[in-house]
Amino acid sequence: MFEYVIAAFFIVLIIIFVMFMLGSYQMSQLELEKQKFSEQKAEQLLKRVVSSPLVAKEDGVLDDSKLIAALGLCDDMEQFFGKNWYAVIIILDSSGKTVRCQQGEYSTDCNYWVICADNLEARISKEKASGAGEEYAYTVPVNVARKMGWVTRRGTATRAEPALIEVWTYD
Amino acid sequence: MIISFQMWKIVLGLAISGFLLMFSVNYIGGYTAQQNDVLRTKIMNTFELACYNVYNTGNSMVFDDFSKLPFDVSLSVGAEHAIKVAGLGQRVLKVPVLFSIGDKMVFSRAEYDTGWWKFRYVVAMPETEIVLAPGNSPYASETVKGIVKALPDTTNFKNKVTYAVCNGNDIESACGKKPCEAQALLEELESGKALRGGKCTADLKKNQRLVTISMSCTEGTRGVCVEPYGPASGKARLYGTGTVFSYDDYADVAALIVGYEKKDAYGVAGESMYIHKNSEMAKELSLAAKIMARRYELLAGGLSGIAQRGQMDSDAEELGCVKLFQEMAASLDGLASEPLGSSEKAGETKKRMKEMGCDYD
Amino acid sequence: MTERGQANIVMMILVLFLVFGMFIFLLALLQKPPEHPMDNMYVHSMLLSIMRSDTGYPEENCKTVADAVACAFFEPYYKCGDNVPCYDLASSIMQELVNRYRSSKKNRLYYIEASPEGRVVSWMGKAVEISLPKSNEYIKNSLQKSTAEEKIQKLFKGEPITVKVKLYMAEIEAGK
Repeated sequence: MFEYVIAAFFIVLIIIFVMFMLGSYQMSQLELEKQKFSEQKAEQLLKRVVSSPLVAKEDGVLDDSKLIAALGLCDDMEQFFGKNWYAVIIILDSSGKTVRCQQGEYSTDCNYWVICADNLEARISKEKASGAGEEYAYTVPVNVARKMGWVTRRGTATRAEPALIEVWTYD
Repeated sequence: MIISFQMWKIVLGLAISGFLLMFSVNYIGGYTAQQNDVLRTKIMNTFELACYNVYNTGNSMVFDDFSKLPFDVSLSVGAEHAIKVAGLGQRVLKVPVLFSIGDKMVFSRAEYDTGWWKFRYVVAMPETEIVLAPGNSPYASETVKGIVKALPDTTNFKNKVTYAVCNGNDIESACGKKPCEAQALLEELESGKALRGGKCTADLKKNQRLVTISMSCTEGTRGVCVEPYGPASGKARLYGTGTVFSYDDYADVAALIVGYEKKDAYGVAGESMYIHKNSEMAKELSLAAKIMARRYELLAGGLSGIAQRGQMDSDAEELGCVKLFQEMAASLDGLASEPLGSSEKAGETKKRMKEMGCDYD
Repeated sequence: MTERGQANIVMMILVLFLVFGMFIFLLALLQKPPEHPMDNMYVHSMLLSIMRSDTGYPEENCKTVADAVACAFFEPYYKCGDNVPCYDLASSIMQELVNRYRSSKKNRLYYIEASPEGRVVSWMGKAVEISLPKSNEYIKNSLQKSTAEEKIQKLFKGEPITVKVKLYMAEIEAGK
């Protein structure tokens, strides 16, 4: 008789164990799915920035004059692309030097743009403190078209430079 | 005594089994409900990513995931335009999407060219037959072309958006062959064929949406009624709302058709889509006007600087672009604060800039 | 005794089910190491960026890297800027640009090759080919690589020609 009690006890234990395992497997799948979705959204944001006519001449080719014009318009860019992101674009120069582009003046001497990174800490610290979000940063090769990259006596022409864009997002 | 002991064992066994069974059934019931919610969330995630993908790439696609479970999806157009899914909360899409949910859907990207900017949006709609009642408006043909171009072209896709013509009680394919899709219908209209149809009194199936084109739309007209004043402007009505919608582009009409008459907690879906489209367009045009105005000022300054430094001949043709850049910047400065205002001047300047080779398209 | 034997059998079967179930469960958890979709996007974007970049020479045959590569196969005698043969320009600039991009992903190796599609082009008795750097050719056979391919299509003496360019990217293995 005692064996039956032990057998019944173990059966119940096994059933409850399987239920808990299923439950915790479910939770881990949900977490994985959530993370995968956040990664994919971050990837789509990158693709959107790289193909948006607001900063690009064509898909994968950014326009230097549009990038300079976009500097300092972070609030508007956030309304359009969403919050909690920044982008850094850098032309891979043979000189290896980086000269940051400033708002208000068109120049082909600068080779480095930072969009929406100013005051980043202040802007996202609230969200970071309250939430358990993740940060994603993706870097992708692009071209930057310098609108007046070639200057001759008869006019100017566009010049395509190799560049990198890093888009960082917090979700 | 032995018998009572065995009875006790049986009763105890039954009690424990009953308890276990109840526990298991409750758990499985809860687990199934949770699994359904998880699946719905996954489907909505895929929907959201599909919208971004179609918006970014311009590649159309089909989407059948909504057939797996019943969905109750609506668009709230309050302070933030959010897609609400019953039981799952809400999500805000970062790209403009005109949608209505169905089992077999097709996604495509459309654009409206303002002359100086192309506003892109995604149209996500189920398999539909657009039933046209062209009426006697002189702009009927142009209006039909505009509507067809604003909706998905499903040629070579398995989920179809087709077109039919209604006259009284009869509904027949709009181009004499089945199925009449966008490409085929546009070819017929370009070749000069006129669609004949009058007031539609036929019974409509669930997947049919009526679009009447008339010289005068009244409130009780079923479906969407379009009253064109010219080739791309006029007013429209949607059955179920008393609002008169004015339109300057066919994306507005597409919004009414895609949302259509479905009633939800936020009103009539077509009206919500119309508000959403105009709000997104205003937001995008305002930002685009700001950036482009700044850009043209920068280019004007840059080009002038090159001339002043003597790097370019003073009679170089490109120096004529400085004035055009400045004109464009001035027009866009005005549009930045009134983005849905007239963009005719900006469009004209852009055209002249392109002719002179001042800027790429 | 018989009852005890039965109970033991039941227990053994239960334990077997449990072990079998755990085994299946663990097998289901065993997944392939996740592919890096971003690696694919990176290598495709890198190849496109290289091909679209300007070389510094304004002539039509040499303006972009793609132009120089097409020229290298079909007009290898042409000199860019009147002194640099387009074959030399195409090879050197592709190598240079790959090196510049390499600085952003230091744990990757790259190999790039270009060849005309559907034909063999000879110059001075040898088949023309571009493949750089030779020391990395082995990564073509690596299992964990990402590949991008682009086709350059041009008209040469009225005839359409196609040059295929392939870029391979692989992780540097530990210890190499």
